[in-house]
Amino acid sequence: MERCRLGDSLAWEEVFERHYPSVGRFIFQLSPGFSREDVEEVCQETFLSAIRKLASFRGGSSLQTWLFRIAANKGRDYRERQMAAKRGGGRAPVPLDAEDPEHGPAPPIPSSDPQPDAALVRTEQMQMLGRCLELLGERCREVIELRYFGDLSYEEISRTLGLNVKTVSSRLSKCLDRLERLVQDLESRPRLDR
Amino acid sequence: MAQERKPAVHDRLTAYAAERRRRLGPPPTLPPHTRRFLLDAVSRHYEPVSAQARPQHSGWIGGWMRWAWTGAALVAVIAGALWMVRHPRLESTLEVARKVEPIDNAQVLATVPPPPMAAHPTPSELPLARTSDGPTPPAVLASAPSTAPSHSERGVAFKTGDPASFGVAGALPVLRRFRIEGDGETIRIVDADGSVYEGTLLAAAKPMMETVEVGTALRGRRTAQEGAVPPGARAARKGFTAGQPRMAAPPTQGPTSVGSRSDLKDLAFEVRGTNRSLNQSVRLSGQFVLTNRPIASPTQIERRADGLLDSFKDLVRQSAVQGQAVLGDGRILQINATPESP
Repeated sequence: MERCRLGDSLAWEEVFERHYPSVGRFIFQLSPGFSREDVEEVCQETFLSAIRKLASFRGGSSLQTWLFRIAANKGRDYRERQMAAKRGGGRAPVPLDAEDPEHGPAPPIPSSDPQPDAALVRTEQMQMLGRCLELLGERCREVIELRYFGDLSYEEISRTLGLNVKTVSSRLSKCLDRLERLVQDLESRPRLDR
Repeated sequence: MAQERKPAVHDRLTAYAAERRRRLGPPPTLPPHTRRFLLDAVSRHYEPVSAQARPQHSGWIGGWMRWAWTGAALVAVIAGALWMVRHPRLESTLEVARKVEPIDNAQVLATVPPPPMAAHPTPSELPLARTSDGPTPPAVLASAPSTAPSHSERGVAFKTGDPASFGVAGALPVLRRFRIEGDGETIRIVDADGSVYEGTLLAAAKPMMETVEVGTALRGRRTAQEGAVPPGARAARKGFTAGQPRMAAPPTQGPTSVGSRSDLKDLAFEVRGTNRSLNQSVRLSGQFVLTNRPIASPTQIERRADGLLDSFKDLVRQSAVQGQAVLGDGRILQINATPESP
């Protein structure tokens, strides 16, 4: 980290190589609507912010945990921008493997996904859970994301958030209860209302 | 703890995370363009920091350098101011000295103590033996450059210590440094840039004293004035025989010759030539004015009594040249200069 603080490009490159996959995977789980392109975008913003704010990293937690927190904030901002764009008539990104004007649409790649109906159900459940997570407050969402998407232990979360382990445990328990109530509440509504 | 009580949403979250990871597939890798972008960001972000760290050091040095330069400039200004303050005094002193400086040889000799003997040229330095033993080079009477410091170097203080005493011509390349040569009635002034102004010696405004024997006159004057030698009395023409009577020159400015005895301090001359540096014609008219420049010892003078060639050299040694130079473009320069010692 000292080399990074001095602006050593090799040290930074090492950081990128080591943490980019885990951060990307973490970001991909933040929202069921994120694509790989979105992950790439948010990852770039995350590491860019890390470059600019490394001085604020005190070393109380691991660098990866610190990057997860940044990624969570950047992912949320990105999701809000996406939603704002949709509300304002924004266009969905066009995939690079678009239809070839001469040969027509590319043949679909065989998928290992479950059957279409099962996949649809699963997708709906994921979207509902994502919506419930968004309805949670920031503090609950953060601790849940770090625990379930970042696979952080209580100790790592406590170091990251500056809390003791017991506080983390109780906060996580309360947040899960709130999330469950939200899910139940959402599931109890008629389908058209969702 | 939370692990003990696992709500249903826990399973949902775990399934959600697993499903998203499955859909993601292999972990994302850092794309090359993103790598370049981030590395550029690193260099952009941290270079200014290192650049800011350098100026703190160089700024500290630069600050001291600025202080040093400021101090040096201040010293130079103060020195210049002091010189400017002193300069008018010297000039005024010079003016006073010029006004009160006696033209009369006797007064000069009376007021100025004789120079120490050590400062006098030794007999071996004088061309007396050569002039007495063999034929004298006719063209050169007082042109041999001295190995001793020139009068313009050592004689700066003989009047005021101010180079300005060497004449107004200092600003122009006219008679800054020069030497005088003589041959009979002909006088030749060779300027530092090689310009040669040639002309004739003229009788002075004052009537020439009657001719006396040079050695006798020198000895007499020296005895009368405690060893000081009237330099003008030693300006004698080559070939002038001691004791040979000579007609006193008329008070007109007609041509005369070096060798007329006595008050050659008023010996006038007029020379013309072209100044090489200015590429202009120069007409210089003036006269020799005696100074208190050191001369040879009386013994040497006596020994040179028969070598009249050296008398002109002595005249040059002890004289300044006063007059004016008229340049081709009409400019007039007041000349108060000292020729180099022959």
